[in-house]
Amino acid sequence: MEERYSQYQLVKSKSGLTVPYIDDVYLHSMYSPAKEAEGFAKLHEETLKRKKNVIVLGLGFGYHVEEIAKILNREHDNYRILIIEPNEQLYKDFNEKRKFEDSNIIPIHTKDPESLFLRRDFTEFLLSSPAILKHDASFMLNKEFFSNLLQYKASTDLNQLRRFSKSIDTFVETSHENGTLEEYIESVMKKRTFTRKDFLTLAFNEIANS
Amino acid sequence: MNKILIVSLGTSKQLLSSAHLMDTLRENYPHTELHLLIDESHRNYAPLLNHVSKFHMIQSEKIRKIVDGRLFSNGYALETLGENLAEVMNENWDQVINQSNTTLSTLLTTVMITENKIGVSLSDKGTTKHSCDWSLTMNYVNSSARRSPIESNIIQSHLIGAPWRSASEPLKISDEYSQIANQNFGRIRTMKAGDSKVIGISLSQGYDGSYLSKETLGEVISTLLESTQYIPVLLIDSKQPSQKNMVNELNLDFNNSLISINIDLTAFTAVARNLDLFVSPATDQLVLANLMQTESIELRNAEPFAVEPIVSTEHSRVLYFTEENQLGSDIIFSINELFESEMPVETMVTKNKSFACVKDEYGYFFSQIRGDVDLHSELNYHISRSIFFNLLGYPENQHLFKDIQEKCQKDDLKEYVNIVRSDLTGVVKILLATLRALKGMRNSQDSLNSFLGYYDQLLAYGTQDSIVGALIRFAEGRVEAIETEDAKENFVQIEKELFELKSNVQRVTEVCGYLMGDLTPETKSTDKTA
Repeated sequence: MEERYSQYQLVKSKSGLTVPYIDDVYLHSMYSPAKEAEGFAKLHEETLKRKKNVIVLGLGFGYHVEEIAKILNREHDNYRILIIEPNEQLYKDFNEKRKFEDSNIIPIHTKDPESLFLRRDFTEFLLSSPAILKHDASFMLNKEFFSNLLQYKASTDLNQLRRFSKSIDTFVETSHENGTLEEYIESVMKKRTFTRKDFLTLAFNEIANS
Repeated sequence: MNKILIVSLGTSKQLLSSAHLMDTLRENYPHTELHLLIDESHRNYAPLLNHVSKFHMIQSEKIRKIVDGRLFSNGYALETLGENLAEVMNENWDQVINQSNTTLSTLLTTVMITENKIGVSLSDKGTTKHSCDWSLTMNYVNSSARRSPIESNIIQSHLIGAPWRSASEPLKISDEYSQIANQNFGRIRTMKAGDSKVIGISLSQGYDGSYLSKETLGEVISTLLESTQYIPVLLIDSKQPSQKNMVNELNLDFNNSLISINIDLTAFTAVARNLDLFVSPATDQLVLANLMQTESIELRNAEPFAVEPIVSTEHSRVLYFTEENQLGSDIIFSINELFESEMPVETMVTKNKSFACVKDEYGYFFSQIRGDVDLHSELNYHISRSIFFNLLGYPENQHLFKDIQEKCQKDDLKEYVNIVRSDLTGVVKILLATLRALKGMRNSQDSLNSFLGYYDQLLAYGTQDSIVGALIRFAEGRVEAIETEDAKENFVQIEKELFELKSNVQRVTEVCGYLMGDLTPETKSTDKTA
């Protein structure tokens, strides 16, 4: 991924805070990153009052995330912030030079959107219907990655499903590798005799459609 | 250690009702571990249920969310269900009981490892298997009857081989809540001169969406306050701000004199024990009060028995109302009846119908005490109840026919018997034709179509809401349960079931004879007394 960034630098803002400068883009204000971060969090205050879990698209150098954490800390007992950052160098530098003190903030680095959905903690977090906030400078810099992430659509093919489930063989006959889960369920419904796996598949279908 | 799994994957009402079943199981199997498989959305009810060694939960809501979201792989949904079920599916159970009788609970009961599946499960052909005739009655007779001949609660008890009994300790009661409630209600009880009766009134909305309107509440509260005998206590759900507003509005009308209690489900059992009567729509609170054997008036905004009552505590009432403006009078009338008081009742004429819960040798039943009596429907209920209990091994109710003869007008009875006899004539004709066609199949395959045609006509009679209709549905269930793959044996068994039906239909003919005085019960041709 580093190859994509022709230019990568950490520079000092006028207020003395470090600002990543990548491919001609300053990820924070060169005058006062702290003030800019405050404004960013303020802009999303209403959302943050409603949602205690937040996904931030773009790490930058973390100033905006810390401001979000301040509001969440004030509004909720338990909150969590997950940050997704595709730039490995930035992720490393941030962890070396600043790092979040708040253990409720979890930065994740990945270049592959699908790898996120294979992570159980990420999926569980998404199921809590978190707010998703874009750090605009980071988003624009990594537009393709973030767009792919936001437009991700899970495959329904049985062979793909196996990547997400160790239990799948409890439900689906191992001989079935092709086709989608929906097609498999339809084929089970048409059967004249049923196995334990078939009844479990039907139970799954009953839950999914009830 | 023996282990029993109870699968309760239905409504909150069904789950709370399982407390009674578990209480019966505990009495019959004191050293057996009782495990309960429930939906995670009912997690809050778990602390209330007594006797449970372990709860197992299915995360249905999470699974649906995964399936509905394009971001999530269905593989993850399968993984979630697989993890939820791993422990229960690997266990070798002594019994697995399908308590909630839903499609999901039936499928999951089917996959459990056990020699003893109670209630409905499925065969490998996908046909329903019933553990006994009680299960069959529940699924074939009750499910299509306008009024179930046997209450589902009683059937559920018999599924595990136990007659209906009052539960002893079905629910957990917190000592702390109990102490506070006893103190508070002790004080409330002595607020008026003498030892008053405390009438708890629920402001919650029932499962059917009904609730007590401000007008009805006003009428009931003012009548109770004016009496020397009663103290009304309003029970409000702390999570429902509208109920708090209602109390504020009522307090304006009653000079802030009303007693109201904010209550959550965990504390409710302690409160219910202190009430002399609980007036409520069909809610979780009512299920709990009934399990605590608190006498209650259940309010149902429906035609009688369109839904089975929750209450089963002796003397409790179920009030089916269609006219809201008469409901207040009906409630006061019931309270007067229960405690022999004489509070003024605004109108003695009502379109609503009240029924009292009465105990008898079969368990309990409901007897109409107010409102127009639909004689045909009442007779159908009582006669079919007696016939079905007899079919399921109980002694026949010897007094029933005599009681009916004594209490009904002869002309009304004659009209009823004529209708039943007319039903019988049609059914017997088709039943005999079906049997003839079945016999004919031994000589000619051509009779198969003829048999199927008559059998279909017979089943069509089974859709009727009548005694004979219920018997046909029972026979249909028995036929559906035949498992043999041998065609010849299959027809032999069908023939046996149809002859059994013929004998049961004959029984109805005899009942008609008793009712008209043509026969006496001593001269009956069959008796299935256990």
